[in-house]
Amino acid sequence: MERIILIRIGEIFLKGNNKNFFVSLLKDNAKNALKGIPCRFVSSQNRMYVERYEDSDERTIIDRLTKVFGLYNLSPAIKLPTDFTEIAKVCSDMSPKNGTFRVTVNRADKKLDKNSMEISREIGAYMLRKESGLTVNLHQFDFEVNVDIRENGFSYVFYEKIPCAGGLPVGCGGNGMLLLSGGIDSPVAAYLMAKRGVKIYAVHYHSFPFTSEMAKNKVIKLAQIVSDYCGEIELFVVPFTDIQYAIKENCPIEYMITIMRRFMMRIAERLAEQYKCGAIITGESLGQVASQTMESINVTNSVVKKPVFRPLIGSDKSDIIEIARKINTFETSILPYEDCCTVFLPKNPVIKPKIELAEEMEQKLDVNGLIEQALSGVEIIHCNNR
Amino acid sequence: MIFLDNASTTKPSKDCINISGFYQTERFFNPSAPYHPSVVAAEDLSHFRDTIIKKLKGNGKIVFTSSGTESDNFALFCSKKRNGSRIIVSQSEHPAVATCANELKNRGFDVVFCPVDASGRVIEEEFLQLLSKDVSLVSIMHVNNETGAQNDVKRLCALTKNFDSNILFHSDGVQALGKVPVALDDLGVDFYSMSAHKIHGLRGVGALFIKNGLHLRTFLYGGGQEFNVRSSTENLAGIAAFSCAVDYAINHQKENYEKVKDLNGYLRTALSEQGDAYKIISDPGGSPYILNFAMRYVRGEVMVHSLEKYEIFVGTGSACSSKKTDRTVAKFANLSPEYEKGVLRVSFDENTSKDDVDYFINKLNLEYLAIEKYMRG
Repeated sequence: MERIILIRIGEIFLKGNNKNFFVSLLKDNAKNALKGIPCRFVSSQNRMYVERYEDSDERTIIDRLTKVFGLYNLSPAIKLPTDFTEIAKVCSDMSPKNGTFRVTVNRADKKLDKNSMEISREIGAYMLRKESGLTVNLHQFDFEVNVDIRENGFSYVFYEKIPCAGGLPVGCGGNGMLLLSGGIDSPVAAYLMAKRGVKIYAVHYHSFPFTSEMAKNKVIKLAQIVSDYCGEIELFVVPFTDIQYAIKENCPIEYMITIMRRFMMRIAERLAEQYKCGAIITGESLGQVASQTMESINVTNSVVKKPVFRPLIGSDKSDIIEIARKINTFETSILPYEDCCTVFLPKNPVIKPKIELAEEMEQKLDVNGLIEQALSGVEIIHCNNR
Repeated sequence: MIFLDNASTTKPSKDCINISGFYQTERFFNPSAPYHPSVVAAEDLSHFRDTIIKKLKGNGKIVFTSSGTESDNFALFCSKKRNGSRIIVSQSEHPAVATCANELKNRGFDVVFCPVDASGRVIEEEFLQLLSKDVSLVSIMHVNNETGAQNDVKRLCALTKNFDSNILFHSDGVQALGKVPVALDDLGVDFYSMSAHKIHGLRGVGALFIKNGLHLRTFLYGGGQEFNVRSSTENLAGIAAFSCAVDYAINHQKENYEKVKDLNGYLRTALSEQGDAYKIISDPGGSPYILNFAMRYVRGEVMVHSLEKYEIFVGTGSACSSKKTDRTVAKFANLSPEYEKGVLRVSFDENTSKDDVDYFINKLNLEYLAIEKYMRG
């Protein structure tokens, strides 16, 4: 008899010929999530099990697994050889001593001579004999004892099903290059795209000395937090100060942010090509700031060919904050360090920029030269929490 | 490396490290235990306490704490005050005092903030206006941590006591200890906060001087250490280093002061030569260990980062965010908008050389010119 964790995987995406691909990806992701915790990870049919761990690690294991996209739910359970007397005894010992209950048996092992109804009744009867404070109520019960009898000669007793993150296994949806700023939105965008199976790469623009090492560390910290859901994130820190200087010197101040963002998109696309990302991801939400109006998005979008995924485009700030709190990035996001967009923030940034004007202004800049120079200074950081 | 942020912390001296090492490895015993090595440790503790009090010419006792901040909290919260009475603190206090004062205000005390001049020094006439029969406590720092402004604590304390001898007078001496002359009896204060790591001691050790005849309420309950007002197993290693640091700092106070005063004057002149680029905030009459100035157009934090690449470390004298606009210096220094975000704090120690200052001013000017042109307008 030992404590184990029983994991169920979502079934919807398991149809068709891709099943093996999905399952093996999911298994790898779940295993990776448990890195550093001594335990055994077993996968069979549509289930996975975590066994042979220290009791004191159980909470951590559950916490980590509930963040793996593609898992459906899980149950901490007792694993024991299929022997009805033993099972009934365990059910009785583990259950509360008072209240109403039901026993639900799931019998995958069809070779047994009793059916699930009969087994439920026997276990229920045993429990009633042991504890006078218990009564059976199949419909309105205080707790449910689940007994899962498998074909491998073992049975599992559990009480609760803890929902997991749902979604698709990270990696099955291709790679995406996220613009990660350090604010509230971009980590949430990472989370949402990872939930649809996208493996996240991230690019951050760093304007030392205008933005500090602390600001950079904050971005690394955000990537680490999100990696609980996304798996390890490769973060590209791109030196951006010289580009900002060049724009400040040569372009009208109200177009500062517009042209900066065009550079950001171009560099993100270059990195996306290099790392085989099929899309660029941003945390933009329509109308949130001057650079996120429809006109601004047109002007910044026009410099790239790859699709740009904006999972938050229709979300209110309050909705975004709610997710940020849930995934634990909010507290870090609101640490008050400068980000590169606030450094040369004009008093009146253009709200409805024009592509032709932006292009004309960029004539004065050595766009490719500046991009090459920035890319040559990229620092790559592997962000994970393990 | 050129470390010009000694007001934030100083490099521990070899002597301090050696003596603390001895108490961490050899004489590590808990001074409260009954066996012989502990009795020796207890005697040592008493010796260190006496050394510090003698060096500071104080007629009272020293309670060891974990920091200057703790000492300030201890004095402000545990001193006897009538409910709802008036507490006077200066407008330029360190957050360790200012936030305590705000909390006391929340608890119903009539907390008033005494105006200061543009260098952060308490204005005497304003202070006198605030004294009233309702005052129970005054807390005015000795040397300001951002500008080095030095309050005439002796005079302010005397004025207070003349007005009403029952008013308690606390002074935060964290930036004064070992840097400017400190004779506690002569100052006349009731409570005086100190910190070890500002004078080449170790972090995690502070002290509060309590004048004879005065009592504080218990701050930490427990095993009864530190005269039963601040329980905790004594940090003997840190206290030994503190005593060593005080000993050195007081013995060399005069010569170090003169040396640093020269450096301060030298840097002042060099900054003034740059015209409007820099506006000096620190008053020449303050502690020479701190020289605070503001740059036109360039943010202090940006310059701090720019100087990092030369391994020059200076302070901004405030939190690290431009979003946090309630910087103390900016509040009292009457800076015009071009200067208000450009505050830099240079703080010396006795080991700073003229060459260090030359190198600093050279790189400061260089970086200033490189950045300023992008930040104008």
